[in-house]
Amino acid sequence: MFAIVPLITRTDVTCVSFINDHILAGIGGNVSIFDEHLELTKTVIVFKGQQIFGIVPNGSQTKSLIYGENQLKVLNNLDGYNQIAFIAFNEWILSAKWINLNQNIATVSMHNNVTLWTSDLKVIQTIACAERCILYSAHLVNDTWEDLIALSGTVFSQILLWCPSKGANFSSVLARLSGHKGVIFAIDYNESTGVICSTSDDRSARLWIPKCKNLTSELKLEKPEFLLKCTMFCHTARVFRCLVLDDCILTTGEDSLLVVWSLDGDIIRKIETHQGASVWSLAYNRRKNVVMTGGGDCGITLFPLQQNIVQEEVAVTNSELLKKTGILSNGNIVCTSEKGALLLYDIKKRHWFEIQKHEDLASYSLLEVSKCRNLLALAGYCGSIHVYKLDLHLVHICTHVVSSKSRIFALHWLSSEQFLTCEAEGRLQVWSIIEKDISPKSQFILPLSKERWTTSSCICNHGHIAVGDRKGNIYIFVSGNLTPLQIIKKAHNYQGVTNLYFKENVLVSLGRNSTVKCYQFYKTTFSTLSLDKLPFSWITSIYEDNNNQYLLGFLGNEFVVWDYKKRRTLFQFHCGGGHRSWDFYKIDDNITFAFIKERRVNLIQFNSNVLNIKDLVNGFHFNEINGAACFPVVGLKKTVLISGGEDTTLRVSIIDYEEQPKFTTKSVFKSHLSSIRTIIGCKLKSELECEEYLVFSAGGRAQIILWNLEIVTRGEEVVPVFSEKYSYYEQLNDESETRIMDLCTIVVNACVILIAATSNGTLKIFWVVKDAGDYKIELIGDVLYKLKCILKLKNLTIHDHHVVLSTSTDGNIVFWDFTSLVNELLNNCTKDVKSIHIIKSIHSHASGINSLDYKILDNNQCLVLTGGDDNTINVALVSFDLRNAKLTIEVLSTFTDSESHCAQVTGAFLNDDHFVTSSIDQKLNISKWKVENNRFICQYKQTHTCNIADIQGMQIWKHFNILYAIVYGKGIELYQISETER
Amino acid sequence: MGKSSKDKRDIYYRKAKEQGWRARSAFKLLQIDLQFNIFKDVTKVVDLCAAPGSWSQVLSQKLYVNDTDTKDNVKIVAVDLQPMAPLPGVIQIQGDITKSTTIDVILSHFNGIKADLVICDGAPDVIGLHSMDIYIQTQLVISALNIACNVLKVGGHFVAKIYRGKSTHTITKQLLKFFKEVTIAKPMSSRNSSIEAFVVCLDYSPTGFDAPSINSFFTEDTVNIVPFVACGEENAFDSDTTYPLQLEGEDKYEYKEPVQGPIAPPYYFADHIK
Ligand SMILES: C[S@@+](CC[C@H](N)C(=O)[O-])C[C@H]1O[C@@H](n2cnc3c(N)ncnc32)[C@H](O)[C@@H]1O
Repeated sequence: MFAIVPLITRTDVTCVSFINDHILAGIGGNVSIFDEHLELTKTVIVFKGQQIFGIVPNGSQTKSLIYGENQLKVLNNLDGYNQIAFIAFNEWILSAKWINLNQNIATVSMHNNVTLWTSDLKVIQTIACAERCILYSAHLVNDTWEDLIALSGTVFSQILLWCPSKGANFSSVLARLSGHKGVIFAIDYNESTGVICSTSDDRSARLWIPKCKNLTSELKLEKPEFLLKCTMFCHTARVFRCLVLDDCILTTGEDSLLVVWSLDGDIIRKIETHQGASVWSLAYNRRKNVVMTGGGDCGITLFPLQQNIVQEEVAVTNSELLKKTGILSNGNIVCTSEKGALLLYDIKKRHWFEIQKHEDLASYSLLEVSKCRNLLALAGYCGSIHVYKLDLHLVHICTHVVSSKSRIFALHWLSSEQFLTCEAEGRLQVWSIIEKDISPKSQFILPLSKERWTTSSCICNHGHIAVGDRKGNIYIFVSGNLTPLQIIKKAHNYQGVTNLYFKENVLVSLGRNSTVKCYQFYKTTFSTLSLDKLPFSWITSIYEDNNNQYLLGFLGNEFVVWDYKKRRTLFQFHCGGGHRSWDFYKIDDNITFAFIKERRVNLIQFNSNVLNIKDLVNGFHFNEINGAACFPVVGLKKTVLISGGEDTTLRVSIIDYEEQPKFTTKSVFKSHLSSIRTIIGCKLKSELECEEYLVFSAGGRAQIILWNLEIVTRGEEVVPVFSEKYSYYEQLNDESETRIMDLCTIVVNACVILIAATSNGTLKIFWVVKDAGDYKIELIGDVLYKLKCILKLKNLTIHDHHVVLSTSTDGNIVFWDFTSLVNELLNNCTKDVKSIHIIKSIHSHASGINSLDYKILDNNQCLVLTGGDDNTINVALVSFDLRNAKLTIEVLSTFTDSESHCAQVTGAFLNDDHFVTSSIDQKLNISKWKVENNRFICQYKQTHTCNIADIQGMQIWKHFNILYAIVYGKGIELYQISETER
Repeated sequence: MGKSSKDKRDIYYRKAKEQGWRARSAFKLLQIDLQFNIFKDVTKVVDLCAAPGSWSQVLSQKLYVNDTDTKDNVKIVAVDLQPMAPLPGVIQIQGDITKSTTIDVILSHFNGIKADLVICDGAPDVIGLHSMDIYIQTQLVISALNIACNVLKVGGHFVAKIYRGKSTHTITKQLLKFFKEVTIAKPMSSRNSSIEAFVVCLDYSPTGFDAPSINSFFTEDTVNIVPFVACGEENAFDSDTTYPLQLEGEDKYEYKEPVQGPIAPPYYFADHIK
């Protein structure tokens, strides 16, 4: 027998629930339990492959009812969630509730039946609604069987209200809520307000109220009436879930947005949750003020609901009109006024002070606070510069007038000692603050241009200063040279560079064209390292705090705080747009956003908790995973996993199976233009504490990307260093719709041949060329098989011959001879693909072959294991012979199993004595095998039901003598497989 | 992306437009017929989940042969949730096949007479949770089976689309109670990468007692016992292959508009499954 122990499950989070101080999450058929510190403490395997859709505690929270598909289970919350009762029912459960003082349970099924159960899951009775139809959603109201009301959401856009206790076997519909134009996906009801919310396929959520404001009393009337209170549109796709709270409504769904609405149907807030994936589950805890969502990206997110934002307009006593504003390190606000006054608003005393009047700053002034927020520079139209310093009070340090008397177009703090000014004709001047004065340092000249002034500046290393201009260019100056050393033309679009930073040897520029760019200094110049597009156009600054990196910017009239790491909006506020003076600052737990609107200063203050959106489980791929490659780490019980799929992202994760299994995604790459279908690795070198691989990923638009993976270990820590080296894709006359389905490599003496299987029935043959320390892929040629999509590839070496195995939609396994090509390459002869030919073709499946593995035996025999679209597993025993130096292949016997799987077989693995297959039917089958008298014999079989739907493939590896397997598809699951005594 | 990009990715989509079919599904039915000869001696058919109507097109082409005698005998009843553009000789019903009222309307067209064939190409608007999508699709199959049990003559045939998944064998096991021969068929026009397949059930032979059960859940004890057949012409196109737009020996490629676009707003009942 085998022991198959699942270690890690990451898939759709279909249910989340707060119970006592714990959080329970339904992930596949498992419940993950998190304690009050949000640590994962336990995973309970509740069902075998059935997805959990409900976790319902009883009134005293001592028991939990878990349901999923047709299964129900009651767990004891008090003794570590052990099972009290279980049943596999014959209907799909949509909703459940504890009733009759926790003595009973009531459920609604997809067939519009309500069942009454004992608390240990014995059926008492089932009542059918008179309206026989399929439901997509249901909700139960009231706590006793007598009063129980079912709200049933139909395919045909109605909500049916009925009371199961009224009626013998069939219970009639008492009221209907009609108005939606599509399937009803969710229904919720709030007892205290009487509000019913329904959500639908038609992108809307609707609020309904019983005429008498109480559902139970209304349904007792002869003609119950319901009013459609409002129809709420905001979601851009189907709305899957809703909650009616006492003072607001939450809706979420396919567009990944969580929308908070007022009870009148006004939008209060929109929150992006799961990388664009559907949100499947939603819960709220009032005491903690926390909303929790579970999504199609396998993640769970927590965030505070109430933001408690305080907004005030602080009027100046003599009603002066304000122009510019900034926040000092002590939280006080400074402003310049139309009349040239420098004003200070003391936050604690809530009082305005006039610090100084500068006649020269009337009607035009610049106000810039230094990075340390202890220095303040003002500048005017006729070349004056004033510097102030915050000690106990804000004190004037010095005033200086530039010799040209030119207007100061811009002033940028470079550090707490230096700033740069921009005068007319592009004259730039760096200033140093020395004691109580400022002294001019380096000078530069901006090249001629229409709008010849700067928008930002920062100091880089090697004495370089980077300057951004109004036209989107970046200039690199060095002290002593008036003219720029380098011009990065059109770094951003015509709307200009908004900000520049230099950190860890990288220059970062922000623009008003939604982009963040990074440049690396190499030898003498900066060259582009990366370009990142954000979902809002006007990006103004980066705000760093503890471990967080926020991007600040504007989206239309809204000010946005965006989490750079998690890539989502944390805070959004209507302020009128980016064309205004504003500042943003956090002291302790308080965040202040100050801005000028209609010549007055407005303050927005809130607790930094508002930005505290936490991922209880980090998101992963938000669509099917098509390909994965595993790289077990030498000497540590860890594996680096590289995965890719329909969401076009490539992710590098670390699987840790030391003790408590852990799964952490380290980085996400978005280089692929279309879906990724396959990922393979090939080892370059393996040294102590560092292994190096070439990794290839390929998929849609016939794109192949070559990456370099270095796995560096430092003690127990594993650092995967992953970088893109080369992207191959044919820019044909038109966009190519060819997909690369699979890849394999032949490696001989450091010469790497890459073979790609394509959807147009050809093998593309490449050569990986090392070019000045870098790698690239060069096409050698195409070999046409036939107009049949090729699905899988593997290669083997036998009798000194290089053989490639391919499978395709015609059900054939084809053996190709690559020997001559390899020899030509090794001998530096002209290379062409003409020598590649088919040695043998074996028809082994009725249609496509989706999985392939082989095992070379003694005496030049080989087992070829395939799994097909025809639900069948096939094993061919073939023998390879050399006749007149020509390789021939003969099939000795075949073994077929069409009983073990009832859907496509998409994973196959064969080793010395086992073989493993996985399928879309969610089964993982393991058998022992042997060959006797040239026949393949399968000895015994064991089945495990996986939690992953739509399994696309499987990877198995041996590490520390233990077999590990992952299956991937809609998520990923890791198992440890060991053989136990029979 | 250009408008011809779907033509490039999907040969059957393109061929359907060129040959005047309302949907590429037509080829699936034609290829199933090629293998199983399901239209032999057939005059009365129920086409469930029929919109936009390519299967009904195939039916009228196959059933209305030039012989007036048989012509008068022909009856094609097409049912769908969605409205469907009219087709001559096809009776259309708009309704949900899982609802008893719809079943009554269908039966009213078969007053006393029996159908020779019931076909169902039902696909729900998938939501993206495989377990639920497959279950709901299976409910369409069970509703279709239920209708078949009501209208089918003894010896009649039943063909229905299924989504293969963890509980497929539970369905095939149930079908075997009503039909002598059950096969899982995969037409060449159905993608290798799709979970879609068809159950072809021949020779209706009810035992009298059993009514179809709604229970279609996964059970651990069962194994797959029905055969699998891939069907299509010897040289049929492969739906996973990317063909060049200009195929050898064909007229010059030209982009064509779809034959009959959907009548209802596309997002209501669109078939999202890949
Ligand atoms: C793949 S299409 C059928 C295509 C059709 N055979 C043809 O050849 O044109 C699936 C159809 O199932 C229909 N459908 C889904 N659920 C249904 C239900 N409960 N009752 C009736 N039709 C349904 C959808 O409206 C959709 O038109």
